Amino acid sequence: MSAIDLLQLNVWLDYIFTTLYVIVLVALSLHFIVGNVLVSGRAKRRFIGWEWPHHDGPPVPFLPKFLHFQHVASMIVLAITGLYIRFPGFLIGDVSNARTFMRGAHYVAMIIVTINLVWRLWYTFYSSQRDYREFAITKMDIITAPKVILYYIFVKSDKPHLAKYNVMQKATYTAFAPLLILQAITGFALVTFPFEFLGNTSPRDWILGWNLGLLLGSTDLAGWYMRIAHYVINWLFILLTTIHVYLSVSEDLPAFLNFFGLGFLDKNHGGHHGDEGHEGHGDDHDHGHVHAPVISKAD
Amino acid sequence: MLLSRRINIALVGAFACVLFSAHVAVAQEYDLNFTLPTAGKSGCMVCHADPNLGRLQGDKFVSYWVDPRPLDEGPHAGVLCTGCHLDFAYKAPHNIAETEWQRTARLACKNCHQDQWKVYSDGAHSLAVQPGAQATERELEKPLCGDCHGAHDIVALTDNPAGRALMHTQGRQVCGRCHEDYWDNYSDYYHGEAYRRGATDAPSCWQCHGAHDIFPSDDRRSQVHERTLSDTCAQCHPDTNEAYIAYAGLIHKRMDIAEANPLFGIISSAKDAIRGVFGQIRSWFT
Repeated sequence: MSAIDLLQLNVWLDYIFTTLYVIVLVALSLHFIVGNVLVSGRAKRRFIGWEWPHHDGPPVPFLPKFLHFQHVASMIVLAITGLYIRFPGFLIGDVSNARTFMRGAHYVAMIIVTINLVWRLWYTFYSSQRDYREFAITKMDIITAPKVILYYIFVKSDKPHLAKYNVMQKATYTAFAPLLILQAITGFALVTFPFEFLGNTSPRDWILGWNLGLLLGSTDLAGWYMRIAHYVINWLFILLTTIHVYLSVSEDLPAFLNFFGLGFLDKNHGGHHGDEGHEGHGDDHDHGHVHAPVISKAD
Repeated sequence: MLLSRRINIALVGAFACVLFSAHVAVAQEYDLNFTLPTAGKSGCMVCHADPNLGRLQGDKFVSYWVDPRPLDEGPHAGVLCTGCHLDFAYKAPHNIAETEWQRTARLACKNCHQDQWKVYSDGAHSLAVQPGAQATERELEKPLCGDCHGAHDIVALTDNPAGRALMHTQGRQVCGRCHEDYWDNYSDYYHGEAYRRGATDAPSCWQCHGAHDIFPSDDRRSQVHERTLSDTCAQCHPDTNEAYIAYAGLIHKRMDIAEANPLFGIISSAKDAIRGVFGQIRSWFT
């Protein structure tokens, strides 16, 4: 790809993802207003009748909740500071040295996310409470995937319940791991100041100098490609997280609240349902197994 | 009692006369005729240290106040006023109508800073007027030393990080006020947009284009000529190649590229629509 194309690509990416994000926001708004409120009545049953999916699994341990909370906070910082680094007019006006501060905040959040990622992967695969099976997509998941999609587009009133997470959740959460690893690599490849412990070379030299840098004849050019990849993945995170938050809130608000230590805002918190397993916005038993005694399957 | 009142009235009247005469004095031509002491700054500063010193030129009040603080704290604290104001008549009132005292002062730097003057003289901003020739209007528009570096408030740059940091913030004043187009389109992500927002680690105009040795970009001597661009970029990006330095095409042309993008019109319309909606909502409450 010629560099001229890279100039075009930079601008195209800005517009494509900005447009895409607006489309997603409009689509989710329509999904909620038309689908949840007008067509299916799910919103009324959930937010007014307070009928939410029932969870019968064990409570989610503290550690994954803690890591998730830290991860959310750090990712918000990363998204805001990252967009500021690319678009210095973003959020803050003319503030001297704001970019230096934003870069510092970006690096701190980056370190937290990287530690979190390693910690979560260890927890997933090697801890005594390892939960990698919860994310594994089974044959049944694939077979029943269309029904899950039909449920989300309000064609069906119920979706198959196979495990804690449905197939779409499994696919999304599993995709987060390689995306995070890629984002960490591309992010470190953008750091150009040298470190003593790297033999006075920069992370960019260390990551790109012996491969893509050699191939392209310039580590800085390789860094440009990394920046583009970093920017694209950043938008993928923003898009996926927006959808994730929307579905978490609209499908299982009590679990969402509980996951962030706000369970006391749940109207049924410590109340009549007595559901100790009600933690973690999983896919456990949707309609037909709700907190509230009144059950509707009209949608 | 009556006497006391009369004295009071007389005093008030006298004070009013003084005020009136002072007002008239400002508007009138003054007539001074004495030789100014120029052996030290104090001779000039007797008058010019007064913040109220000025003249009415038409309807406009032009101040001739010289703030002594930056002058005394600056690198030229030991230089006499006449060290720069070379062509001043040493008599008051100064005959400013018949002298180019401002241009003279702004060029006076060359008498001491000869190395810089030599480089400047070869660059695009040099006056290039042959001795005895009349400078054209375009020549007269070219910046002199003082136009970029300032006058009484000049700061040292050599071995002075604070001075360099201050100079770094002056891109709009130094270059942008004449090269408005280039200032406006210096809007790529990491250089221009960041610099214009005050990023201290983003390059100022002269970090790429040069300062005293500035040339048009199509001049082979220019730091941004295609022949030398890679060396210029390498100041910050040490491992570049030809493909990489093509990024320079974005530095002053991002908006051109953006405006040519088919999505630009849609997003601009959407932005305008959103602004319109918010403007309408705001108008309901104001």
